[in-house]
Amino acid sequence: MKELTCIRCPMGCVMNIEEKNGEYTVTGNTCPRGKEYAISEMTDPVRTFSVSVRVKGGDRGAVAVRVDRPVNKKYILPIAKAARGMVLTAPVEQGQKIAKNVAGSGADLITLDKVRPQ
Amino acid sequence: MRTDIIKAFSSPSDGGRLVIVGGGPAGLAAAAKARESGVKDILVLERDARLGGILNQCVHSGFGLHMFGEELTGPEYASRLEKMADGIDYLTNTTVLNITPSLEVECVSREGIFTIKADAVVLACGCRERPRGAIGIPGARCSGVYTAGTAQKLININGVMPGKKFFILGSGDIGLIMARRAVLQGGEVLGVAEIMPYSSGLKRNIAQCLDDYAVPLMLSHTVTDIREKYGRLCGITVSRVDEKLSPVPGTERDFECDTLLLSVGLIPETELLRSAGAELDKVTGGAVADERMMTSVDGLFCVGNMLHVHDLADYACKEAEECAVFAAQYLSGEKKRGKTVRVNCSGGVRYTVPQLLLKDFEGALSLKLRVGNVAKNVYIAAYADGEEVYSAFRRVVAPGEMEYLTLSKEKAEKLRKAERVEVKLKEKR
Repeated sequence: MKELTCIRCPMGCVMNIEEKNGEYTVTGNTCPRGKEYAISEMTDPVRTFSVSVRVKGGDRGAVAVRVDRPVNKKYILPIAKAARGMVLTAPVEQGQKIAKNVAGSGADLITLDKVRPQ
Repeated sequence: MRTDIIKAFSSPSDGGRLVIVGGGPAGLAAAAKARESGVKDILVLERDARLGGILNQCVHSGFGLHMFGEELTGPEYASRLEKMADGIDYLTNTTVLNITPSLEVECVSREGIFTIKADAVVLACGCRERPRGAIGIPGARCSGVYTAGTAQKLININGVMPGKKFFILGSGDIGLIMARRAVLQGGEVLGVAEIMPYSSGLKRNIAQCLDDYAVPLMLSHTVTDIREKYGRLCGITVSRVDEKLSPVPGTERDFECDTLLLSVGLIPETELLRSAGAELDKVTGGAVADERMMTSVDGLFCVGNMLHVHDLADYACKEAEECAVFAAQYLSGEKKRGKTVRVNCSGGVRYTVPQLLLKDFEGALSLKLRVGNVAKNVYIAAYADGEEVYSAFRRVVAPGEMEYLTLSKEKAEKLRKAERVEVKLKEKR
């Protein structure tokens, strides 16, 4: 049994979800969207997120990158750690792919912004 | 190029000149929409070195679902808006110092001090974070206390971590988002304290910025002491508060950390409104505006977080686009003000925007409002001279979520014609 707060609407239902022989029972939800969310959280909870990567010789010290697809939660910290170890050199373009299949997640890292040389 | 722009806009206009102060989401959206609505003489003034405003440092995703139908990060969203406004004259690194009631816009830049002549001005200057001094936390005046937005800029733009071990006071969205950013950049976040019994941030941010990283959210708690060593923060004390928000003795808990982030509210930036003599709303902290988002100064419009703090950049942009259409009409038509009726708020409703309805206005009315407390199963109701003309049911309302109401032409008409207009919450029977 797991308790979670639904994030699909402002109501914020507190739900309980229980698994029995691969079947999920959701209680506390007030609509079908809550059930859907609860099951996805149990089977494949995915997230998208951004991290910043250091840039040398630019007009700013960092550029943010994002994963190019939602990844399972378990990859978040390994991806963040990999990104912290990277250093780019200006110029950096927006939408540049700076790493492929980062930390074995299947996702690539894409820059969100440009950095001009100083 | 810059000097040409300054020269052109310092000269008298042909009566159709729109100056937009602020090149963030609201300002860019207003500029693009004003051009689409037929305004030819437009200038955007931005004090930062680049357009995009605060979006440039908001590297998380979740922007643009309403405007562009897809989920973008802040910098990507800013680029889209810049493209929409491409070709419109703008000046970056330019700060507006003052606006006169006759819409002379006094600016300073590396070219010097100059005055732009405008026929209408849209103010889109955004808001500021409430600082430590405004909430009176006791303890040491040491380094290591930052507003969440400052930390966001340091981490995301400059690539500098302001600390290693963080504690966050206030559960506003920027604070929640910075909890996740600090963790992802290798920091440790000990907790988030919120003085109210509920969070003012979006629920999805609590789930994906705190819960995902096991960062505890301590509701009804606040920071009651800050300690320092060699001038740097070295620890804080957190206490539970009672219903009156006073700390309860005996509930103190000490945390060893080196950085305290504050996410304790946003306040519209109103210096220019005041310099122009525009009436301010004590509740929103922004301007008092009519249905066109025009302030009490003729031709001076105000949109986005400078008018009232929004939940989403998309909503600020939408408001700016609506305003730009009205500003275009104002510039091409008769520049008159019209009679108004004020919307009175009571019974749980803190404020509405617009605050003033225009007597001779036609068409539907979009009303934005916030409530003072969490309430369940309520109606938001509007009254014209005591008669209920509109009500909308909500399963839950909360101060952290702005409410958007759309009243039909007929219902809007009744309110506009009334002597007294009221908006309040009504319990479900």
